[in-house]
Amino acid sequence: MAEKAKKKKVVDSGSAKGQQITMLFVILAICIIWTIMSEYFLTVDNWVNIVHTMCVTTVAGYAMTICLINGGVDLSLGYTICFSGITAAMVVYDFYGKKDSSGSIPIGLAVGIGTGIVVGLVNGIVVARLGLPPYLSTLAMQMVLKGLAYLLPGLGPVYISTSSRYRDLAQTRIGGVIPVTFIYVVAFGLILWFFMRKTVLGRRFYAIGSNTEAARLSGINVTSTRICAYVVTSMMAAVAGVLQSARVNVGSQTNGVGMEGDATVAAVIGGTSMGGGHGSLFGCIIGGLFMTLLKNGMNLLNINANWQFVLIGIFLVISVVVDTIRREREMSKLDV
Amino acid sequence: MSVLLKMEKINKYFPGVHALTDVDLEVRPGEVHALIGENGAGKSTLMKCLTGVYKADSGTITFDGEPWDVKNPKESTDKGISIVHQEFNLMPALTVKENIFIAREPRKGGGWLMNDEEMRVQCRELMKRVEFELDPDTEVSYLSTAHCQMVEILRALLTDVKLLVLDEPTSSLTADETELLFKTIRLLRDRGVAIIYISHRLDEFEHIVDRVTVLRDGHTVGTANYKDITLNDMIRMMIGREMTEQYPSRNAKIGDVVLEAKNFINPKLHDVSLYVRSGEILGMSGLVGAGRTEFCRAIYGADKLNSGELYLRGEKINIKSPSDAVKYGIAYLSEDRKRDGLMLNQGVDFNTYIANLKEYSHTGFVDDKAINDTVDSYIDRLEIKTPSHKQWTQYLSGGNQQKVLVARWLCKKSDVMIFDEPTRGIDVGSKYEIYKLMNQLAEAGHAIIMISSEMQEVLGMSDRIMVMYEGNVTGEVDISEANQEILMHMASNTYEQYKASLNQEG
Repeated sequence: MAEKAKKKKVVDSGSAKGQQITMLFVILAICIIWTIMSEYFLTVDNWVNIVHTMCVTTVAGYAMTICLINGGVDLSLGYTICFSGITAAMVVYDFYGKKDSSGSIPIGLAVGIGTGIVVGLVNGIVVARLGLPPYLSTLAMQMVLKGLAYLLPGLGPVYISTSSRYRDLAQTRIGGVIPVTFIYVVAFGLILWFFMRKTVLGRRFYAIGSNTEAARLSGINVTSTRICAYVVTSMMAAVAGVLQSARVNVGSQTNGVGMEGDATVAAVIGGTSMGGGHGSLFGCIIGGLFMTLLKNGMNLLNINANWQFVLIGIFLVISVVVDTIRREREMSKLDV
Repeated sequence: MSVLLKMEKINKYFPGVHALTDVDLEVRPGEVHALIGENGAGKSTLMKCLTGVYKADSGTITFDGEPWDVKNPKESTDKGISIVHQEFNLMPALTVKENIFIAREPRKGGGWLMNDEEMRVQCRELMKRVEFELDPDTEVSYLSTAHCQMVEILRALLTDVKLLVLDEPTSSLTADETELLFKTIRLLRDRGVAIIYISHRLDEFEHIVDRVTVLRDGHTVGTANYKDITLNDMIRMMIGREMTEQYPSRNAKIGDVVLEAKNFINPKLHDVSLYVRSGEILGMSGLVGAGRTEFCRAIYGADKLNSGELYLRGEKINIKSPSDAVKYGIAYLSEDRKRDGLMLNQGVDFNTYIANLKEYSHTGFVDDKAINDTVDSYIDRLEIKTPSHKQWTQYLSGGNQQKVLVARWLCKKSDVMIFDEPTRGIDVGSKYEIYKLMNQLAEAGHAIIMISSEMQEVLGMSDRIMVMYEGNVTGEVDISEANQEILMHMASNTYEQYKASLNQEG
């Protein structure tokens, strides 16, 4: 028996490596095609643009990855991005003060991210304490936030004065070249990776996502841990929301709409499992980059950019099917 | 004598593993043929080769006089081989008749509508064949395990079944339910249906089994008439060594009372109490559904309690949730390891330290190095067979999965361990190891509560036995006075009459 056990292959993690390597090749292929077809593709300006665009998708992807690892899903993610961007913009715009002056940017940031924390708390309490299915409770939250996004600022988008430094948050180039958004992607990725892999709280997210009942019987307080997971998720969504509003310099009701879809796609293409317990933050970068590149090239080539959605939809199915087949093949080798 | 199924020199390879080597199996019509072997011996693989889930790499199969060449399970069902798995494939929200006829419903209205009346009629006919009554319109979610199993068997009978494979059919049945199943099996056998009966419960074989085939490490060890061999022969064939004793002896010093539960009341418990001392194994016997699991879950804070008091070493404690219980050093190893115990898609290491993350972390950050050393030491100490501490627990055998859970609670330094059906679904050789492990725990001063539906196990392992019946404690005996008869009477709440009858005789 012992010898037989030794011969068995070790399956240690929901290893997303295979899928990620495949995706890197796909991305390389896309880059080569776009380079051949457009001379503008390989310019610094274009890549700065690409990085700016992918930043929000990737950060939103981080948020969704954490939610998925914990065994949940957050359909309110898009409107959390939207609504926290609006609340931040309202402070920066100095909504309640004199209209020609700018409000405080730090307070704006705090309010925006605080909005996310409140949304996460409510989501978490409804899911973990009241026991509603995540699909339903976050769908309800989506509705609520959609309404509030229009009701709170009165009507219409909150435009921020061009004299405000708010947009520098997302539009600065370090040394005139490296977009600050690139730093965000890397920095938040590292912080969250560290949080998920190295802290007790993060490790418990995995436990709950893997088997909630087993986690409960192991003495983990599932309710409070799950609430924390939703708070982290919505807080990261709020970060994405603030960045998005800074990038376009407006707290708009259309910012972030549908982003829960993009975030899920980025997470899943990057190798995160919908079943909970496993996920890759690094994969979100790949997923975010893939979607952004697809869209960017189409814009450059004047292809109707709506084709990107058709392609992404098809590609999502293919990538999950291929990955499932690959996993099944690995499993069948183990089945004795 | 005619032969229904003949499998000859079956070989099956998986990368790195020769799962079946020249396996032979011969089944005659109208016999109950037990297929036994430890977990991993190749029973499931052999059955999968038979029903078309796998294709054997070499070897020949003859069924009913013709070469057998099926590519998928559906084809094998159509040709007369059905399998009832240990875990049922039923749709709880559908009715009995809908489950039996699923995908084979009689139609009307040009094939667009289901013919419910016809289904009911055919259902009753099927039930007559096995002399068993069940309302065809009951929703399956309301049925007991035994009745669910009957629905599975009825479904198998719907096609003209010649060979029925039953995989661990009695593992979650009570004694009465098992008798019902045996009656059905005998009826089918008498009608010429051959039955392959896979089970770890060798003690039940005398009621039904005609012949036995033993597999070990992917080889056929032999086939014999049940009458010609003893229990010990079978065990020896399965494990390849003499099993001198089924239950290892222990040398534990029984100390003071560690945990005491007084007057526990909730909808499933009617004022029950228990205590357990250090170094002691308290066996909890009773029928399935007697409230033993519910009692332990209430102690552990996993189920709600209306009233009741809990004392740990004489001090009153208040447990509201499992996390409180864990803090007080109480551990619960659930009867369903996969559902309530393990995180199956995580490694052995993750499953070991997860209850005790706090100890292996500094100010909220996990110390992976300390964890790895600890986990490796437990793998060595408990002899957990795994290629690496990273191996997903879903790929371990039942015995090793149970050891991982023991490691989890040792790692947490729990004093009181509640084992709920500790050897369910675990093969004979590994059972012995689990027993040894429980003995070591008792010797080290842990207080152990063991819920078990296997009478032999309770008698073999306990220092003291308490018996429950429908949410009440119906008796408690020291091991020196316990025997099967007493326990059976306590478990069916007939102990008082039994005592009275003994007195009359005396």
